[in-house]
Order: sequence, then structure tokens, then C-alpha cells
Amino acid sequence: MIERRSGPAVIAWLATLALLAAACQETVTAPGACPNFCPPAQLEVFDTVVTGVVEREEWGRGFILPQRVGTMQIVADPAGRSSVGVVQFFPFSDSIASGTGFIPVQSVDSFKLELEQFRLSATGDSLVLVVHRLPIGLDSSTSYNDVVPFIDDSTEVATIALIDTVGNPSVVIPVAAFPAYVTDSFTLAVGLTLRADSGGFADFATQESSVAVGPFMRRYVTADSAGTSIVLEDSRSGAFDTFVAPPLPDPAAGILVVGGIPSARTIVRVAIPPKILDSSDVVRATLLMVLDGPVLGGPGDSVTVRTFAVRADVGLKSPLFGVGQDSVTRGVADLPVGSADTMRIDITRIVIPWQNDSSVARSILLGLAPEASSLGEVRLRSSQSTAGAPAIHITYVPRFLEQP
Amino acid sequence: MTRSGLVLGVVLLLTAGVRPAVAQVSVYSVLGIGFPNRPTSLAARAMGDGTAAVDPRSTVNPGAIALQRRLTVSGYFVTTGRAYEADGVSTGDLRDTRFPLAIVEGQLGSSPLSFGLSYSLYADRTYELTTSDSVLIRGEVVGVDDRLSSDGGVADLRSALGWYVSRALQVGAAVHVLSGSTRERGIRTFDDPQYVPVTQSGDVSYTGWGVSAGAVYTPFQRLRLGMSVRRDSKLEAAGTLLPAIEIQLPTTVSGGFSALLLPTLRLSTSASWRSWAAANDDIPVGAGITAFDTWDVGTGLEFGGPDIGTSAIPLRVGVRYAQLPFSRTDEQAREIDLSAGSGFVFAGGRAMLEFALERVLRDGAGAKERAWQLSFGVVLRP
Repeated sequence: MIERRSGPAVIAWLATLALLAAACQETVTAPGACPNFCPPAQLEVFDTVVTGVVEREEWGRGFILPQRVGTMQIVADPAGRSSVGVVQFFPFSDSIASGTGFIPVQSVDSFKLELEQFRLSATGDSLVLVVHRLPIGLDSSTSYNDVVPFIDDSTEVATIALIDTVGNPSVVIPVAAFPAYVTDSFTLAVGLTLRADSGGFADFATQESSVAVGPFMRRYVTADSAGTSIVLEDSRSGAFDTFVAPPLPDPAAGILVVGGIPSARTIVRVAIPPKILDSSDVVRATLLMVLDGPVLGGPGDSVTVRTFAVRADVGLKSPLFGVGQDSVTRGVADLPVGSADTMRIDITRIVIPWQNDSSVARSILLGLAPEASSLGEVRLRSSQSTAGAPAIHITYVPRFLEQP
Repeated sequence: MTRSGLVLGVVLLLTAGVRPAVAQVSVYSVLGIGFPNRPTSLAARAMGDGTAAVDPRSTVNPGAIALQRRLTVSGYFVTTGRAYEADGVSTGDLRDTRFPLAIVEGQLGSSPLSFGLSYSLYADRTYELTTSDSVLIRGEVVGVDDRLSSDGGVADLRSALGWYVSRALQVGAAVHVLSGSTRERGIRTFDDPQYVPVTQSGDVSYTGWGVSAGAVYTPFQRLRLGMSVRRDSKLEAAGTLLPAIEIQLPTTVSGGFSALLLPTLRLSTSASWRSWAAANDDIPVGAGITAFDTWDVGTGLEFGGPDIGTSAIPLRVGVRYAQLPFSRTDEQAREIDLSAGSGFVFAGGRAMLEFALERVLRDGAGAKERAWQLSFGVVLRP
């Protein structure tokens, strides 16, 4: 070769090259000119309802007890099932705190029941909360049948008109309303019912609530303070609070139950054809289950059925994936009480992990959200039912075949 | 700057930031096995591939290897800016940088034999396309956006041996290993958030082989003739996204000449014919693609330069006409390249920087594409 160039010229060339190399930026994304200048194979969406893929369902009751939840639902249903809220408060005493000590109570002037209300049915009727005097001794074994003999006009001690959807209703109750107050060791218990011509419901906080304050009873007294009578007050929270309702008859064989009190759950096993599950990408999957009768619950109420993926299928007590995580429990169905439409729940986020991973349990657990917090209950037909067996509506994209 | 430092700097510049194993992309890359590459040197490109049949730094004629009596390393990259119109869609400002060819060649000791090891791209399947449409799902019209892409191509690894029979005649033969892969990807997103976006991807691998033979004949000092034949096997493509498939690759016949018209002016012309239509029996009917035999003809002029021996700076111009093999219509696409280039020697005659500028006009089969291609390369003779 012939060399006639000097060093500075070479450096200039190298600098130019360096600039060019630095300027190299890829911009290859372009709008497709289909079909002539697009790949032969395209992404195609298929949609089908597969039946016979939901199998080996089972249900059970007793997972969450109503006294363990933060809500007490009081229902009035003239044509159906009503519930009673029951609260027994921690006992007062014959003395009351004053300053740094206690002084004797001379007389009790009145009581005041205070509640925190979450929800109220929008039935259009005026709803009245009726407070009844109950004998003490309420505990987790207390049933509706134990309470209902004491729910009548003779035990009614106060009423509260419920107007606002949320609020803090309260009512003053005369001392005479609790004649056994002293003999019951200063312990009070009340039953709460709802009065509504065409039915309704009201939800109140209980002591188990993490976001609200449960019922408490305030006491107004006259006390002896060094020979001087003074007016004081103190209060007691509920020692036990829950709601009770008449039990429902067991469903017929082959019928599945979700919700109610104590809460019931259903687990279903799913066998989606491998052609779809292993050779496609599922973009949407919906669980279809036919209701066996209308949704049960308080008039005007609705229930939310939620689906959960299970870590391992050991039956109804299977450990769940990411409870409370929206990505996993995305599938919910809101069903109005009284409706009888087919229940449709999105299970896409549950089905996708099943693809190409046979180690993931292909089971779905259904429960109410929240559980044991209302009379809401859903009864569903199963694969054993003569008609209306569960199915899955699945939308998928087969793996595309690229062809030269 | 020392000589070794200079050479190292050039090599680093040529390799930094440049994606290997793929050449230029085109709207036609989506068809067939991809966009066929030009296995020619940067100097040949600047002359419309006119020297391809007699150029030792191109991988067309293995007989030309025997002309390379000194160890030589060369390679280059191409930066492309392009725009196209196709089926009513127009787009511009598409840019990419590719590394289409590298070659090491030289004499085997003092024998009359020379070797050549090279990498070049056989076909490029790089593209990324976006489309919007609507589909009927569950009784409702849902908008969808698709992004379909392919990245990669088929490389041609050539081992060539040339025999310097005499000053007038050189012959050679080569074995070609075709290998490569593409990453195919399809992404679909839905307007309705209830539908989960889909991403499907997978690698497709390509394998094949070929043999070639050629000769260079110099009947007198001012004229050099070249001729070569190449026979390729079927290209096997396999991957997770498609069933195994085999596509017959073409037989290539090339010929050309290079004539020193004046002491400082050389005219070169080459032509190649490829039997791409042989692939028609193997292309799935559903693909809707037709393969055509192709002609590729180029000619160019070189004024001066170290090869002629009259100056350090050559000036090269050329024009090239080529047919493209794949189409979805009855019309065969073609391209016209107008090119010019130069270079200069440095490092004591042991290195040369080259560049070429090309204007590419592609038309046919429903598309019209225009591109500027700027190539930079280096030739090292340590």
C-alpha cells in the first residue's frame, strides 16, 4: 500500500468514526403493512366455554365465626330470615373513678348505648334499631333460639331511628330498663333488632373491628366525693358481641355453599384441556356457576364472592396464595340478594400460573368477602347437578407458528 | 500515536456499539427467510458490487482468495437510514447499524495456496412491526395492539482455499456453514384491561451448508475475469414456535470482469443469478409467499487508489440492480443502488480506512423503500 497521510489526518478520521459510532441508534420499530409485509402467522384470539372441566367440588362450614369478625349485621326480613345483635358489656362496679382513686356510687342516673354504624340498607323505609334487655351470660354458645324468647315488647328498652348510611347512633336508656343490674353484678346485656316494614339491614362495628369502635355502654352516676354529691360517668365496652340468626336448612346433595354464618367455603378442581392450558396463552378466564336459588341475605344487601388460588390442594383448609393481594384475588362477583343469575367470576390471574407448570394446584377456593359478616349466602350447583354444572369461559391465544 | 495503537483503535471503533450477526434491515425482511445479504467487501459496495467476481475481500468467488498473497483482515459496518411506503402505510426515520462482513485471508506459508475465513450474513430477519386492530371477543369488539418482532438472521461462515496456479489463473473452493437464529416475539395488548396482555417469544435456529468453487483468469495485465458457482443445501429451521421446516436455498452462478481502461481508471462489472424459485416447493402454502429466481448486476469505476497503485486515495462509484427473491404478490421486487466511496492508507501502508455512501431504491411487490447507507470499514495487513 501507499502511505501519504500524516498522523493528524488519521486522528481526524478516527474522531469522525467515533462520532458516527456514538450516533448509532436503533430505530427499527415500524407500523406493519399487513398483510403483504407482515409475518404470515399472527396472534389470534379464540374464545370458548368449556364444560365438564370443573370437578370434585366440596364445601364446608365453620371457617370464620361471626363473633370473630368486626361486623355485626342486624337484619329485618318480614318474609324471611332476621338476625339479632347481642352484646354483653364488661361489668360496672359500685364505685367509680374520680381523680386518682375511686369513690362510691350513690345512684345510677341513666345509661347510654353508643354504636358505630358501617352500612344501612337503602330500602326507602325508615329503619328503627330496637334495643332489648337480655339476660347476662352471653357467650359463643349463644344461639338465635337462646335469644329470641327475650325479644319482645316487654324487653324493649329504647329505640334509635337510623337515617344516615354511616354514623354513630346512640340512645339514653333509663336505669329502670335494667332491673337486674345490681343483682347481675352491674353487668348489662342487650339485644339489637331492626324494625322495618319491608325489611332492611344495618351493619355495626364490633370489638373485633380494626377500623372502628365496637359498642359500648356509658353510665351516668351520682357519687359521694368527700361528703359532696357529684355527677360522674364511665363506660364499658362489649365483652362479647356478635349477631345470631335462625339456622338455614342444609342444602340438597350436590349443592355447594359459600358464605353465611359461620362462613362456608367451596373448593373446586379444574381440568382445562391441555390443548388450551399448555399450548396457548390464556388472556381471560371466567368461572361460571349456576345459582341453586336466589342469593340469600338481608333485604337490599349484596354479597361479594371472591376466588382464591391455593398453594397446595389439601381440601377446604388448603393454604391460599397471597390472600389480600389484588393480583391473586382479583376475581370477585358482586351478587344482589335475591338475584338468581349465573355467577361469573374472573379467574384469569389464577389460571395463568397453571400454564406449563403442573406443580401448581389447579384448584380454586371460593369464599365470601368479608366472611361471616352478614347473612349473605350463595348456593351453587355442582358437577353432580343434573343441570347447570359449572363451566369456564376461556379466552386464549394459541402459540403462534412463525413461518418463513 | 504508535502504529499498533492506531490499529487497535480502529478495531475497537469498528466493533464498539455495533450489533454482530445481522446486516441491514428492510421492509422486505419479513418475507421468506429474510432479506438476502450482499457478500461483498466495502470497496465492492462502493462500486455497485462490480468487483464481486474477482474481489478477494468479497466472499463470492473463492478463486479470488489466491490473489491474496499477504495476511489481511478486513471488515466494515453499515449505518442505514430508511423510509418506506407499503400497503398504504408509510414510515420514515428508521435507523440501524449492522456488521455485515469480516474476513481473514492470506497465503499459507510460501506455498501457492491461500486461505480465507470469513463471516458474512446470508439473510436478515430483523424487523419490529406494530399493528392496531379490533377483534370480536365474547360478543364485544375489543381493540388490540400487536407488536411482532424478529431479531437475527442466518450467518454464512466460509472456509476457502485458493490455489495460485499461475499469474494468469487462480482457482479456489470453499465450504460454507450456514448457522444462525432469530428471536421471534409477539406481543398483544387489549384495550379492555380484563384481558391480560400476551407475550409469546421463542428462538428459531437455522442450519445449512454449501459449497462453492471459482476461478480467476487474467489473460493479460489489464483484464481479469472471474467466475464462480455455489450450491447450498436446504436451510433447516426449528424452534419452539414452529414445526421443523426445510427451505431449499439457491444455486448461485456468478461472473464478472475487471478491466484497467486507463492507467488510473478501472471498470468492474459482475452479475449473479440465484435459483431462489427452488424454494417454492418448501414454502408452506399458508405463508402465501412466492420465491423468484434473481439477477444481481452491478458495475463500477475506480479512479486511482492503492490497488491500482497510483495514489493513496481511490475514488469509487457504482450502480447496481438486483431482484429480490420473495413476494406476496405476482410482482417481484427489485432494488437499485447508486454508490460512491473512498478510503486512505495509513500506518505505514498496513491499514486502510474505507467508506461508502449508497442511495438505495427498492420497489415492487406492493412496497417502495428508500434508504441511505453509510459504510465504514478497515483493511489491516499486519
